[in-house]
Amino acid sequence: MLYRRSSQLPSFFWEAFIKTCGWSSSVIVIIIVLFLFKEGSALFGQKPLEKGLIAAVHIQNPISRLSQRQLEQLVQGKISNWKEIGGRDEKVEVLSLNNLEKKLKEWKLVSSAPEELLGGELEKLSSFLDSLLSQKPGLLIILQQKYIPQSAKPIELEDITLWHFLAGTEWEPAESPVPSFGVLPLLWGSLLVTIGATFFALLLGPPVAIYLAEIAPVKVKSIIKTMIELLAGIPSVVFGFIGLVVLVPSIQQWFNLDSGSTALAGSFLLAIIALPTIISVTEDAISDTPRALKEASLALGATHWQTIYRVVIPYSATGIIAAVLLGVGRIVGETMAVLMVTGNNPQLVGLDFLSSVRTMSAAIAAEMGEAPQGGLHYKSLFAVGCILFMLTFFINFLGELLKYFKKLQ
Amino acid sequence: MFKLEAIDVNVYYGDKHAIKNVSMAIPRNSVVALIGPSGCGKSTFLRLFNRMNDLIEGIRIEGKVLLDGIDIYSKDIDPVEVRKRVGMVFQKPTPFPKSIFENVAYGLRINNVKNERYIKEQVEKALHQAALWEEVHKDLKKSALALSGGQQQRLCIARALAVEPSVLLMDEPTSALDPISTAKIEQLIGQLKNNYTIVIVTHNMHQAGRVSDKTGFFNMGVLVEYENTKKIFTHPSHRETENYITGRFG
Repeated sequence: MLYRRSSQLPSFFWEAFIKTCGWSSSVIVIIIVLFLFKEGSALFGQKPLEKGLIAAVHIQNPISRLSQRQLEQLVQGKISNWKEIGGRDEKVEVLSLNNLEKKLKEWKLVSSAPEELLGGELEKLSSFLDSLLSQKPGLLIILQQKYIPQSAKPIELEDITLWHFLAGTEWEPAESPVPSFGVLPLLWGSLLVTIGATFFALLLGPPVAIYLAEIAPVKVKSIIKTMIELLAGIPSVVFGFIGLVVLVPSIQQWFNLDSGSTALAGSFLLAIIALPTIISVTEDAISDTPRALKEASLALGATHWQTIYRVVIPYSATGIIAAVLLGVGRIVGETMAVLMVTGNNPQLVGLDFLSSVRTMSAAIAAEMGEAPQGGLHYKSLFAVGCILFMLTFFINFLGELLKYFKKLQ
Repeated sequence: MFKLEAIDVNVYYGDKHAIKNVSMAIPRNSVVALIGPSGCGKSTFLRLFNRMNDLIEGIRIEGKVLLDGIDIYSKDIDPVEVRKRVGMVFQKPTPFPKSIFENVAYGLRINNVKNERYIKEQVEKALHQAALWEEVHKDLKKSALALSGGQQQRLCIARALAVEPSVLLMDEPTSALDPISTAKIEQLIGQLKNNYTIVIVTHNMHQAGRVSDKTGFFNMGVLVEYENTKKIFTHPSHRETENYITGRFG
């Protein structure tokens, strides 16, 4: 017996275990991404109305098909006459359960309670609408199937398109009866806050890293590094809380605003959250500068500072940019702190850092709880998640790519 | 007066006594070779002359090192100024990731020389002196990293010469190079001797014999013997030196 086989079983077991762990983690990641995209893409190809609702017009109305955009504009009053979209010269009136009572009073059809006219459980609504349609042929009715009168025909609605989602400038996912899913305000909110954070992080991160790698004495360095690691361990909700209590009121005072909950506050907090990543990766990049290169510079009579900015920084520039990108990749998806301090107003604000914005991550976190599962709002949040994922992935990919090229040098 | 003079120098790295009571006088416009087995302290000793050892943490230096009669370790001396007068070439070529021109101009730029014409002249002169001009004058804007190892090392010599030092320290400048490049650099040392005082650390006994006027043999931090090169290679006074030169140890 040359070989002892008895010891092979445990090693086989452990090997298999480790292999399974490695593979299953990859599989889980793939499953999560697939799930995200499956739910997100389900938004497209849906009708832009909540389930069960139907849009209907007078049976003689020549319009039989509406795009999502037209529907939104009709509901918002931006299209006030049917002839604007090729119909007859009739004034548009939109009627849904939300504004039913208000409209009836406006038209002086009821004085107090509408129950007399429509019945306690709206059982007379359908026949009432029949008579109303003959008076107001421009009516657009958005109601459940059972209330649609006989003199009305349902309108065919075009599906929600990817383009409408990407280029839409309004995010009103809970608006009834016609929600708007334009991701631009959220995307821009995320980008604006990220741009601001990148600015602050660039201001603070590389200098700290240079100080740590090149100047700080060993003891000071170890103290500062410990502090930065501590910073990395603080949950973002704590940052959000500090921001809410300290930063937001300060910004309100400094700039004399109605509210300090602004993109600026979010930018600043995110910069602090990104700092540990940026500092440690930048420091690595700077420390990678060959000692021989620094000595060569010093031997030519360069001062320490001249050596840093003429040799060390140019040599590690790619690494520094990669560090900033990786830091930014970490904060694009940051949720809690931003949610707490940016004011959460989904609007397109240009480069105004003193206005309130809502980021993609904040929208998902804040709205997921109120979005009925499987509904349009729910699916639209997943679609937002897909955009966020792709953005983060792209930035991280860029960062890793730079790191890779740095290694090739 | 000697160009360089070390008087009773001791160097300690923490507890380690790296240089033990070494004195050495180096005449103007001569080439001095420092030889000895690895770890004998010859590189440490070389780096005393431009205060490169200052950069090492936990180092302690005792004694005097005179450059033109002035102690460069006295308190009111700025090491940066010392390094401008004492150039250095390292074991491995260390071109900066810049163009050939900018590499040579580096020393001038950090001295805040703004006159571009003067910089151009100095760069050309230094490249001529380093016997590199013919090979690179058409590609001055190309990256220095694209040059061959031997060219890179001569570029580093040009870079050191451009700031017009009076002393050139060379720390095994040819150990990473092929024989042809080595020959070129040795020839260069012979020419530079007319204008510079050169101290060269080398592992290559033949090189020491070929290029130097005087040779110092170090062992275990002690300067065992310091003599005219001819004498040290033909009639060494110490047994240790003879053993090392004839290849019995080291």
